[in-house]
Amino acid sequence: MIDYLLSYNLNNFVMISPEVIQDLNLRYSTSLSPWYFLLMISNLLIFFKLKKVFWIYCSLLWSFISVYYFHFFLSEIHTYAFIWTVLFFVQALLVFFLKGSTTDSFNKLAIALYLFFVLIPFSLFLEDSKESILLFGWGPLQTAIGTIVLLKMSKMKLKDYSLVIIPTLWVFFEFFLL
Amino acid sequence: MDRRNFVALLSLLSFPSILGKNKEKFIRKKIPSSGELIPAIGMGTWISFNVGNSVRLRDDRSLVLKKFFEMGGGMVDSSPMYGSAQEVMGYALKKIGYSKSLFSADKIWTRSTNEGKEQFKEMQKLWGMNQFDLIQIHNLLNWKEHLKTLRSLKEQGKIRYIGITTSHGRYHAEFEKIMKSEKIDFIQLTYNITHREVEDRLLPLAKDRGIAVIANRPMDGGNLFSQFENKKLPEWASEFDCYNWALFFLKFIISHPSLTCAIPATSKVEHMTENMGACYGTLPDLKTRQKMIQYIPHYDRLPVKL
Repeated sequence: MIDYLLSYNLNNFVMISPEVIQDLNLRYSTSLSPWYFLLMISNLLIFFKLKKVFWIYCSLLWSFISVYYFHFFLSEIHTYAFIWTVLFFVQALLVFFLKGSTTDSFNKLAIALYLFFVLIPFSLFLEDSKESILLFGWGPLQTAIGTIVLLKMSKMKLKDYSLVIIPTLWVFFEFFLL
Repeated sequence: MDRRNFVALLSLLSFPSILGKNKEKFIRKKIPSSGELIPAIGMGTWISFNVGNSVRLRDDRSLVLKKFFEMGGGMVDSSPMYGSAQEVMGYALKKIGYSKSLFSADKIWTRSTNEGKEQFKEMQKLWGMNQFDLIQIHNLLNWKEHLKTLRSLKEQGKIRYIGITTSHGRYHAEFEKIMKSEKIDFIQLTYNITHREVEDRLLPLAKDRGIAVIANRPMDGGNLFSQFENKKLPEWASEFDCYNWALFFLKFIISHPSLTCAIPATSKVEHMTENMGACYGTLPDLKTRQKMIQYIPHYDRLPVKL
């Protein structure tokens, strides 16, 4: 497989137009539509009331995106979506077994970051279409950025840094190649 | 409405008069190995036809394809590498009907010989066709083995022509070796007004060896439009029936004597109308091609080579 990849430059993997990714996100979001507000509420509850189970919850969200978004949706239009299916599942396992540090600061900055990246959909500020707005735990970019932000808000231990690798890769990929 | 769409609208409005003036001058080019004539403008599917399962976008692309055939288009080129493009092409062909002018071109893109055979079967299924006009080896991957497969398919009458492809100016040395040593009908490479490296060796060699040439990335992946959208088209462009930048870039390409077909990709009907306009009217001569190059800034100003 590496030969296929090497037969192209990095920018050759920009194979999806913004119109198509927006349409895909819209269909993905619509397929989950009744649960939208439930996820928003559970994001709120888990963080402020059930911090102990936060990383288990986060692991479930990563595995959900791995299967549902990448396997059932992105694979329609991206030859290498399966790589992300695997990576997101690996991240789910890492999150489950390593568990990041729990956020220990509720200062204004931490709450502002949480609201911006996790509770209020980050994509609200990027998307034209309300229907294609994705939430933390629903959209891969939102989940990746949210996870990084949550880790950065805590006093990160050495093991926590391994939880940042895959989210950072996805943020890079989505910004530059999608 | 951005500038390109506005210009496209103007082209649409003026198109009947262009057709009226030069309707007999529909530009076809000869495939050297058979003498068959095909329209000089084809259609690529990279990005533009990769729309997944969205019915709305599939229907939009079907309209683009319909316009392509209505304006006399022939070659449609795809690849297993282009996500859902092959499947969407099959959908569009079924929806609008298989045009008699369709010249189907696809590619094998895998290291495995057996998978290459499977890819051909898969593309038959996806396009809904048993016979293809042209199958190419994408980026020369495992080309020796795939060439055997393609020759066997040609003998069986499942394909009519064999080709090899590259893009972005890569693998030219290996390309040249294959062109010299193997009997192939087509090559596909990147050629546009700002990427003319192939004029030095590959295009003259194609002419000598009787190989048809397909130009991919004719608008440099859209970069040419971004670069020139605010620049005025020279007045002398009208001398070769050129009224917008799409015609300028495409007519430059297909006016090269070694070039058989340019394959711009688009997802918009109005852009398809613009692109296909390059198949009508006259083409720039050698002197005009030189002027065209000099009009493009930041270029090395190499003399035109034919």
